[in-house]
Amino acid sequence: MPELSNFTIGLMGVGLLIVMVLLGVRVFVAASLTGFLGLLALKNWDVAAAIAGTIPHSKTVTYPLSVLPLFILIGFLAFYAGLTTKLFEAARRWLGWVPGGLAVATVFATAGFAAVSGASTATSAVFSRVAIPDMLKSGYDTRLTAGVIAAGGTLASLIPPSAILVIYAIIVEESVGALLLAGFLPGLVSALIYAALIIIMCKIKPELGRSVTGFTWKERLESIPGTLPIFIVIGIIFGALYTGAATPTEAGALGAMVVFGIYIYRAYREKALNQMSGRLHEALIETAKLTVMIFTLIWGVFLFVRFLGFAGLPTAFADWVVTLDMPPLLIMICILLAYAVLGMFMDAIGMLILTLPVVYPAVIALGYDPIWFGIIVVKMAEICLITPPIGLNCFVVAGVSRDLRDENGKSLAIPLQDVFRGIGPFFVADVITVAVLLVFPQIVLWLPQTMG
Amino acid sequence: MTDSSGHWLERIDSLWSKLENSLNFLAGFLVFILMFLGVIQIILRTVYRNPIYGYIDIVEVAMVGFAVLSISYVQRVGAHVRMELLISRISGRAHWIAEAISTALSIFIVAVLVPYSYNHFMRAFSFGDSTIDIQLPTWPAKLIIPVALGVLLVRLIIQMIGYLRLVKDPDAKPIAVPLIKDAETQAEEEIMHAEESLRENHADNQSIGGKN
Amino acid sequence: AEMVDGPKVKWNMSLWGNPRAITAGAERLSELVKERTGGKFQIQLHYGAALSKSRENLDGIAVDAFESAMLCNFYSPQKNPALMALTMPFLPMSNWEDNRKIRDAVYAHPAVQKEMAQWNAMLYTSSYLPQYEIMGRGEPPLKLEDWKGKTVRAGGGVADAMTILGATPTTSTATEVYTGVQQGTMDAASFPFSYAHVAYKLPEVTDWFTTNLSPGTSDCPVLFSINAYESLPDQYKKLLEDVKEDVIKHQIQAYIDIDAKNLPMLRSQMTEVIYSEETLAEFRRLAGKPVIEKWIEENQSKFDARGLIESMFAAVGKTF
Ligand code: NA
Ligand code: NA
Repeated sequence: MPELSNFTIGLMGVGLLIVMVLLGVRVFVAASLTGFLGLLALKNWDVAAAIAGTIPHSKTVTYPLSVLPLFILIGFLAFYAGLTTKLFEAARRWLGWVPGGLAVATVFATAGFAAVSGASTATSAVFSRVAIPDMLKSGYDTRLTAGVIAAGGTLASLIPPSAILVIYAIIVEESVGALLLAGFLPGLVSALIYAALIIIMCKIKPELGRSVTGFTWKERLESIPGTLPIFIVIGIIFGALYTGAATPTEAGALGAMVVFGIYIYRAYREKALNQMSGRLHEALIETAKLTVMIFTLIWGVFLFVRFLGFAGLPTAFADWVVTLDMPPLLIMICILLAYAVLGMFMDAIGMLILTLPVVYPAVIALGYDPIWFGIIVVKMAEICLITPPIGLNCFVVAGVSRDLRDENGKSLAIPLQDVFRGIGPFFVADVITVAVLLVFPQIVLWLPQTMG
Repeated sequence: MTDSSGHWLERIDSLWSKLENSLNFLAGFLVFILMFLGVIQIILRTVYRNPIYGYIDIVEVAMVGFAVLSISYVQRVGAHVRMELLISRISGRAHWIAEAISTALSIFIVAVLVPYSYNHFMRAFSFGDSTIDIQLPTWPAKLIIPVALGVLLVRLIIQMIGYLRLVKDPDAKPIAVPLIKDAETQAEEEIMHAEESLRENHADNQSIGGKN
Repeated sequence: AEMVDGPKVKWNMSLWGNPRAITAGAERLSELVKERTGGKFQIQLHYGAALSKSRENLDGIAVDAFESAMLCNFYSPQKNPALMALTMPFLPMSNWEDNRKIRDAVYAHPAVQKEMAQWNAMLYTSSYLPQYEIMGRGEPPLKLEDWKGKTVRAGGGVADAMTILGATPTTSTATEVYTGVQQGTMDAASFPFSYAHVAYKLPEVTDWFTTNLSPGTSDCPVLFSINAYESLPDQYKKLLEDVKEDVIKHQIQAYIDIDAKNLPMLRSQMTEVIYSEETLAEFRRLAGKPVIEKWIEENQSKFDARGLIESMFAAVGKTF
């Protein structure tokens, strides 16, 4: 039976990928090599190599993905313009008093930053720099520190603008504006559940992270103006997308331009224009580095996904789902579980693009709302960003922490395994969030419905 | 003998690094251009109702620049994501052997991709291929792929030599290989940049009266 | 029909998107071939660009990654310059019969076959897209002058034709058209009528639609790999020819069924703009012939562009 053997080859490929990733082979190499070897097993050398040779170009050069470097650039410019630190500072003054105050502040600062950043990994990257030194200095548990930053980053994908929601909208041909709007409340709910969890954890085990107190109301109010630029950018990006005056890429460009303007203004006011070209250079270099890292991962994973496509694994999955004789809610829970399993070894965008063409029609046939499912599926994809072995946000936190030192020059590096361990509670929080959204779909649908 | 080969490796490494730095900056600069282009497009469309015809085509052709150009730079600084859980726990010769094997796998797949992505370019170049709206030829963008992967291939070979040198003599000073975790031994300029931006942001923090 | 016996053969067909009107022919082909061979010859359809990016299906055929695929000619015009003849404005194909004759004439033309052959591809059948029509909001363009200053989503020959009328062509991905029209960054959009307009929900945000402007169309064939086709046993090759008529009928019926559902709905809620014969003649004089002449001039050095255009008109008993 040829189908069966293709299917077996597909499963073997999945196994080989997991082994290579665990052994420390770079993910893009492991994925593209497995993809190539899998195609080789299904076809012959020339065909397999020819298919592989088309992937780096065809999977990176698509207009919707051009939004990514701009969202990343906004993040870095906002970071260099000091917006992230101001946001974090305001959050800690207002929220520091609760148990695990700095971690809770990080949650809401990342939620705020999510409104100017469309990429989870970029948000985790910039907040690693802002929050890790502060939290570790205040004696916060290393794992909690890493976990909250990696998980907080995922809020960027729910709270608009969000690259992955844009990608979902494009795949299923739904309104980008409605989806971006729909993500807002679930993003907030996620943040609240993260915060509640941290407070409970730190109440039970205060040594995980103590509250930071002693701010006067005057100090709190003083921290507000520094965050205003963020709200200006929110207004502009949200407005541009919401009114349809701009595509996501253009809105990203406008957002970056605005942050760039704020940055020039600040540098001018603080007479630090001489530092500017250096910092801009730095921002561009960091943007290029993170962009190519993500794009390389995308095409690497897509080479693997292409192999799965030829092996017929997605089709087999779809057939299996459609033939199920179960109540819709049960099927939905099964689909979500399948996503959780897939997400253990697959990148979020890759997973969406691989599965949606088969899963989406089934979900709609079951009577679920396309926008609601978009938010749920993106939330699942976000969980993938924090689960091993390919939890991109965790890699980013570990990666950025390598460059960090405290005031005495001591390394603040957080090992990857500690990041993954720190993620545990947030994974639980995400599961709770998904359950809440399953029970109360209105949290997702209310805003887009009021949109008229 | 080892010293002289290490010397040569260091020189080749620094020469190739210069090329990679330029390509990385070029990629970043392209993102910067993309920002201006997007803003111009918004202005032309909303204010003058006359957008750049073929804007999407232009972006698509240009984006290969920031999607792959600095792939080798990222490899050099060890920033392509990977799981370090196991490999960071072994040290000495065994560690370098593991790194060498991992690098050999990378060389294999990249060596496959270079000629076949070049073929992908050749098809577009000889049979014709273009974008949708303003019919820009796609071959220049497709040519960037084997070029960038070629630069990466050379980088991987440099790293392979670096690892093999360490397999032979695990106590030698590591040259031309990215080191994991240990910030002490990160490339010097990386640390400087990171510290500088960190310090600047701490200064920002202080200036608005932060307290710990 | 009688059964066809032969060896086990499995083909993959590379498609993008979800099953929809335009894939009805491919679905029928897969179904008939399987049925008539008792499952020995199978053409498995892969949706969602699982095997290749939509714009690179010709590359996939060229390297024998899969045996069959669909493509749309305007996805990368320079890959199939001769097939682009079908994007020319005001081709005389306003009914299904003429639509079919003209497309079949293009498929039979040596220039088209040659450009496909260099990709190792052979055209099996067109998906006989309906003509494009334009749907928009605001004042309906009842006269040709009314098009002046309107921003219209259009590409290829349609865009050239609209430019001549004084409209501003703009490009955007199909999914952005809804918001674009809703927010007023574009006034109107051209799509294959009526299935695509409705698929992208344009009627929700528009006030009028044209039904006989026919400013152009595009072409999305089902292709086979020449290598794969050549290695088929003769009885399977014959089978592919035998079922073709059924495939085509099925494809065209898919559009007719959708129109039967859409048109009454559209007419009940929007203004239908119908141009008089004189207006259309004027439109063709201004924007039809000049655009086609320009295209011939640009392509004549590559292939017999004029001969191709002439054969298209000849197929429906007209002269260019
Ligand atoms: Na966001
Ligand atoms: Na994962």
